[in-house]
Amino acid sequence: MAALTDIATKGRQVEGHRPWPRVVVTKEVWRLAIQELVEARATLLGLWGDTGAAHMALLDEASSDILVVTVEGREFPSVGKLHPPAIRLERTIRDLYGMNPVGLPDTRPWLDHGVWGVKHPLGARKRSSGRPAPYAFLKVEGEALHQIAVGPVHAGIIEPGHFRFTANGETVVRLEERLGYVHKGIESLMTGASIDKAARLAGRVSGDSTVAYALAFARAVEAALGVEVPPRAVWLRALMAELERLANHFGDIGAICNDASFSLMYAECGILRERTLRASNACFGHRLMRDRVVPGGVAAELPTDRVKDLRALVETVRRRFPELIEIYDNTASLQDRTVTTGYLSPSLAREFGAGGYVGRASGRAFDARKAASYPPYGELDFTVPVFDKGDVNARVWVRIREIEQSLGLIEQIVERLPEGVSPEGALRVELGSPGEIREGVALVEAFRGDVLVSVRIDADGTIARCHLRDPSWFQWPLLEAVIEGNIVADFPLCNKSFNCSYSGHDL
Amino acid sequence: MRRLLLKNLLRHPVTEAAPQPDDAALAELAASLDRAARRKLGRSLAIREVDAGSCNGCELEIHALNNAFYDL
Repeated sequence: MAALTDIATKGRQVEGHRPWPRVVVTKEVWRLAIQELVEARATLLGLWGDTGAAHMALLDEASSDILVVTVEGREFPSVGKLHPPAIRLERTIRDLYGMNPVGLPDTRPWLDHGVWGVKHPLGARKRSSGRPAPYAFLKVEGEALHQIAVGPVHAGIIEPGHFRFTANGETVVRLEERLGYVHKGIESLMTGASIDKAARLAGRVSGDSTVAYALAFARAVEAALGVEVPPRAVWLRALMAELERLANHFGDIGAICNDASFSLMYAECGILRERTLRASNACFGHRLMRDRVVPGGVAAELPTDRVKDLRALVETVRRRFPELIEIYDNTASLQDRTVTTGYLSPSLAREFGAGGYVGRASGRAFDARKAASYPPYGELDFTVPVFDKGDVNARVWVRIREIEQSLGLIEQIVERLPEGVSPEGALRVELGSPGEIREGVALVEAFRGDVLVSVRIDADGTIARCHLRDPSWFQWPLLEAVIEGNIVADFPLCNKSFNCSYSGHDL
Repeated sequence: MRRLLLKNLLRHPVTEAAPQPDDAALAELAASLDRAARRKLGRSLAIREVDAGSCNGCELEIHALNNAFYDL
């Protein structure tokens, strides 16, 4: 902790920022913070713009301490210059705020493709032509190289993104991603919104992680306002979060196998995913459980007679899943595609602070449920599976083991779910207006990794600024790294084993 | 794997029966959809879903239509 404590004492601590401290620092101290990242004493959790300031969230992995560092002004020393995971975040700050990270090595726009009709939508807005701006992909030079341009619209019902491959025969020598096609301006829409409206927006950042996002937003707001959530609501939130994790892992395992043309696993995992979604619907009235987690608690009670649906789900998965794992593990043609494919080194995973199965398949054990230890996970018995082979296979195995852990968590939650205090008001507390500016941060483990939410609430209870950082920000760049040296045909496998979010990244 | 395939062969299919709408209502819907498609597209209707700003929730649920339960 020494490193972050040292920086914290060198800045002016901001009142009303919870639960972790935020300090406003000089450019010199900001540079010290960058040095902590470069020397791997801290991990970058987020870097985002604000009116006249930039914020950076840092994590000390050894102690799980978090510190937000703020530097004021329209210019700040670039983090990306020395620490590459920050590059796309700083390109985004330029796009949205028109601020200048001095020394940023790549100043091409990132989310802004020139078609918004406005420049710097969160800063000093300027009208723009609305015509798409030309984009210069990185130069690739060498003999016998050819390019393959894929997307943004793909031949499937999936999200849009552009992949520019440079290949030598079948071997990929470089992949460059271009994202931003589903930018919706969520952070602009958040500004000035009521907490209720902002909570609904948070739940729409990435549909597959709607519970995790709603939870992260709710926890940030509750931290800011000092609100205590009713115990039963806390446990119901965890129940929904684990159901969401299950559904996504089933979908992904099936889809990875399908990308190796092994459709049996896809069909069988699809059945388990559907059963999970149906149980979620039966228990909480929505298959993806959207808008069920709200600031102050939850908006849906688990009907007593639906607990049996959850028990039946756990029983079905326990009965059918082992057989599928066996097929996955014993089918040579499938293993041939996943083992050693798309290797991510532990050092890159650590440098980028890669969350979720991407990090945990490359030896990075971080899980916000343990590290940020938000309730009720401290009272629940579960482990965080970690593998170190770093290939597609390891990322599948992390998911397999996490499914087993989530089943155990669901059982424990159902057994120990606290009673509501009274029929009304037991699941949600009123928030009220704070009467002063308050700030909160939350880190929540979504199925694909940790979601960071930072919120500033005005005295009247509306949102002054809210930033939501998807785990994909630190995974997308790694996908470019892992495909190098693999054949083009293995890209779908690598891509699906990461399953990064487009919507959550593009915002 | 052989065991699973055999079991699945003998098991009742997971796929559920499609809802049975009223014939007249179905015919009317088809006719009005066809008219609208011919007016707007000049040909019969084909659906291509393009994500132009979704949260990915719709895509997941459209995918679900292909699972064994709905088998569209």
